[in-house]
Amino acid sequence: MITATALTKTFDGFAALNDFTAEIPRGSIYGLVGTNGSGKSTLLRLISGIYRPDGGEILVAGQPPFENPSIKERIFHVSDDLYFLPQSSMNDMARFYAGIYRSFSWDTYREMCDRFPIDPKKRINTFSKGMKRQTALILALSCRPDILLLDEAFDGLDPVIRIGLRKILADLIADGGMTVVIASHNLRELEDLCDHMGLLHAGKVIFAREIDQVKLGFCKVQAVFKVPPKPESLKVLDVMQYEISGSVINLIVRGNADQVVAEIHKMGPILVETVPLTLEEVFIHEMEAVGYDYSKIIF
Amino acid sequence: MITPKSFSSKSKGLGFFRSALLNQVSFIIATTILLFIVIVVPYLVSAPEHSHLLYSYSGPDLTGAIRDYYSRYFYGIYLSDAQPGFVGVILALITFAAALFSARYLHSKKMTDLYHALPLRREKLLLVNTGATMVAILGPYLIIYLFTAIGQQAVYGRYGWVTAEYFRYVAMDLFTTMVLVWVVYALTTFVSVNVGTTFDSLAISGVLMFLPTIVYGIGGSVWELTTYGAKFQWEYGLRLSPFLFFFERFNASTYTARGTIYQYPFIAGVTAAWLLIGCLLFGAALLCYRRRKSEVAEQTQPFGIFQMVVKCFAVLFGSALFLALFNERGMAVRLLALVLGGVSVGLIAELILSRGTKALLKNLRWLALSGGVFCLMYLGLSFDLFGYVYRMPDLSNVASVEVTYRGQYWDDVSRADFTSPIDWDSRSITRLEDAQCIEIVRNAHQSQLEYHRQNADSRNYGGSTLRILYRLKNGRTLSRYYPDVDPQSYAILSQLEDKEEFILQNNPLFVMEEYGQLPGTQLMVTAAASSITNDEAVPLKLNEEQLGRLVDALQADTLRRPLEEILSPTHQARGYIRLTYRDLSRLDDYDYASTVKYSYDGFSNDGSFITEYWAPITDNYTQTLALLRELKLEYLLEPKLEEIGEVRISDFYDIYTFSHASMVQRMMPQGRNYYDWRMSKDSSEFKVFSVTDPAEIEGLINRGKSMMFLDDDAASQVLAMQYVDKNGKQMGLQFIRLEDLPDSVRPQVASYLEERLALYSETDNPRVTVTY
Repeated sequence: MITATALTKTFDGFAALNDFTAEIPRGSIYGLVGTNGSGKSTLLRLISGIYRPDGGEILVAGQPPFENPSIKERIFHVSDDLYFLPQSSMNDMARFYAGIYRSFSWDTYREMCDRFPIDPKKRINTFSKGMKRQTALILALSCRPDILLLDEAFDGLDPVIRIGLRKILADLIADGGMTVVIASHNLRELEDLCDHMGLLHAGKVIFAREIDQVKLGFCKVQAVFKVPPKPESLKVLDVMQYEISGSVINLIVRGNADQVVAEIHKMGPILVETVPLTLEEVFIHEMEAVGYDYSKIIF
Repeated sequence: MITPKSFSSKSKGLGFFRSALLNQVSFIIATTILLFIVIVVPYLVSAPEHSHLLYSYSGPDLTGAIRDYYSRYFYGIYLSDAQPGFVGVILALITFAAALFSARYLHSKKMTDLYHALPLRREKLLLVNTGATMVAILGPYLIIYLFTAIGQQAVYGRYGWVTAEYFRYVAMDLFTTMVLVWVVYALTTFVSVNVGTTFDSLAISGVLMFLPTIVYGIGGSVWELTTYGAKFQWEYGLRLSPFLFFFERFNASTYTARGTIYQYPFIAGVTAAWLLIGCLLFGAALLCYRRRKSEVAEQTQPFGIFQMVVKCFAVLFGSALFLALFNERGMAVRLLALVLGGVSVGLIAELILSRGTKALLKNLRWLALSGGVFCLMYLGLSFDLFGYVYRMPDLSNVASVEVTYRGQYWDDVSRADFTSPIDWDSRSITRLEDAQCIEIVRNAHQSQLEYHRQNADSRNYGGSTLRILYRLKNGRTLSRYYPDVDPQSYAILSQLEDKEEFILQNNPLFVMEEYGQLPGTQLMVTAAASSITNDEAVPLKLNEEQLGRLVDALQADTLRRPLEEILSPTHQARGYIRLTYRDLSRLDDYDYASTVKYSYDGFSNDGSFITEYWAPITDNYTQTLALLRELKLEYLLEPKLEEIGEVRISDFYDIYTFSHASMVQRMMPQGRNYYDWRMSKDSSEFKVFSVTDPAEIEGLINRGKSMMFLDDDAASQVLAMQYVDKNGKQMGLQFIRLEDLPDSVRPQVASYLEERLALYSETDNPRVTVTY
């Protein structure tokens, strides 16, 4: 379990994290969402022990990770700006990590080499951006950490690799209880993978929820009317968003989907159906509920 | 719940060490190649020469001779005394680069992310990197060193020349090299840990490597320039830089006629101090690294303490540089130069290290402070606020004094040749404990200060310097150095010429007697006699007892000689007794022969020759003359008038002003090389006058002098004369006063002298009259 309490980190007077409090449960896939400069990478570096907090505390399994080799042994951090030893191949990097991480598994490494189309003998500095990211992920997974920190990990990966990676992570989590923290600015990318989500802005968490709970209280409905009802007519429903396009109205409503559809049927539509709700749409309305103008935060 | 597992940190460290060592492969290769070039290749290049020497050498004791030869020419495993310096500096440069390379991860955000995320404590990270770097540098060094030593033994060891001295040298070389490499690494790492970029690390640690030496040099130079009598020992500054101490370490030695004596305890002491400094720096690096924020990577730190030190140093350096450029100007100009220099160089340092002017206003106060401190120091020294210039000890407090005055013996062998370092300063020192002698030296010192008080700018009289060192009864010393000797000071010092303590230390008659008592010497003395007109002496066939009596007589007459007769002789010059000194224990010592001056008249320059001394004999040398008379050898002093065809006369004022002005001068044999040329022809620059009348020649012989005290006034009235035989062969030399010239040439010579002296204008070489 990762616990941050009133965590603060400043750089030259700028507070990258400001009184940040959050809990990342064990075995979860936690998505950290936020714009550039919101503090995602800083949080990951604090968890991995690269940075020391300026205020508050960060605990991993009840211990601060900074200068704590026994805790860091179980953490692997994949940075957004990757670095590999000069002139090294993936095999060279594997040997490097194998000498430091006792949990490194050559079997897992070989298995990953089979699953990803990367030549382990070629020098990494000849790889493309996506290939380098795959290399970093292979090495990270081979170290079999208890906590895997991925900073913009999917950036540059093709869709096939993304799907494969999601499956691998899901398997590892299911098998070993690995906790994964993924930092990204792309909600859609994280939607299918994470079970927890936290939205960062200006160094603080403004929204943190289990994904299921987030979607649970909302539904999106599309209905066709000869004469579309005005918003005032829909007061019986807790409408979060009302869009009209000719005869078609699109509604985002807080409440159970079946109940909402039944209520709309009473108004005599030609057609009414529910459509999938994206995480982004949920977030927009959740944040408006807590007083944030979404359009100023995420774009 | 995550259970923290403790794994073997040793195996983690080893794994990381392997990786760190692999990272240093390029340095391993570079070190190996460079050391091979500077250590092994010279052997390969000089092998044919050494082989030739081995086969061509002959002597009574071949093995012993070669042992002696090679023990003198090998410096441990090296073939020259400069090699250890170059080897050390190459290693230091490689270490410097390797340390920067090893610490570069601290200066890159993405590298920092990788390394600081590893499950390793920072101390271990640093220690493992350090170990890998040291192995990468010192591993090849030790291997090549051993390889060379074994090869050296294989080729030359059969002569059994390896001695305890060899092992001492090798041990000291290895010890100092490894320590200095360590210091370079520790300093670079300490700086790297505290700055954010590799450029800052390079610039700041590069400056700090030499900063103490440069500050010492600047301080010492300013002190010497502004403070009359100050002389700072620049070589001490070389010991303040790990780079420069590579060259200086074996210079901390004494060179004597019997070989080099390395000051091993001293070298070991300085090296131990460096070892301690290196350990302290590395310890500080560890401490700072623990506290270092990872986010410092790639950041410049305009207000960091290291940057400020370097910037303040830049102000000091700039001030000193401009001060040196304008040192000859007035105080106002010098102060302006000091300020402008500090400002300009300080500004450049600020712009470079802060990457612009953003921090300039905030840093200005520190830069101004360092400039201000230097300015105040300069003013304090310039106006002698510390009372250094005119400080002199009371006579009652002085136990002994050393002075760089040897008078007429300036070019003769001295006691220092055999007991002290052979360098110009030591050879020119006389050490005195006699109260009267001390008083003379102090009076000369007083005169020198008076001269300074009356002269705004010092003038250099022919390159003579004066150094005085008082050893006080309380154990302290007071030392002064004057680059321009006041002629009056030399006149006062010339009063030492008849003092027994002075003569015993400087006159070869006594110095060589002392030499003969040194252990291991086999002194052989031969005597020859010459008239004042000849340049070749006739060997005297004397048995040991007669030779001993002759030396005793010469010594007695020399000690009895009155001061007036030395300075302004009235007695007739009678000739010379030339004593030649050889040490048969050095018969095969070619090197020794080159370190001690060899004779002017072409003695075979084998190793046994030490020196020769032409003792000038006058009518006053009664004991010597009596002995020669007894041995029926007095006739050898008589000039053969019938053989002399001509006496050539010319001035020598240019020689006088060039060197050793205002001292007692002897004409033979010191003047031979120059005057043989000078007297052989006229030129547009100077004239040679000729006297051929036999009566006039005889008169010149009677009135010529072999030695006298010459100051400007006297020198302008004294000429050099050389005797020439009827075949045109140039022979002996003497001084002759203008007034003692025959009427046939005196007017022309006087007129010529006036023209010549007019060439030396008042501004360059003013005529000075001294009293003594």
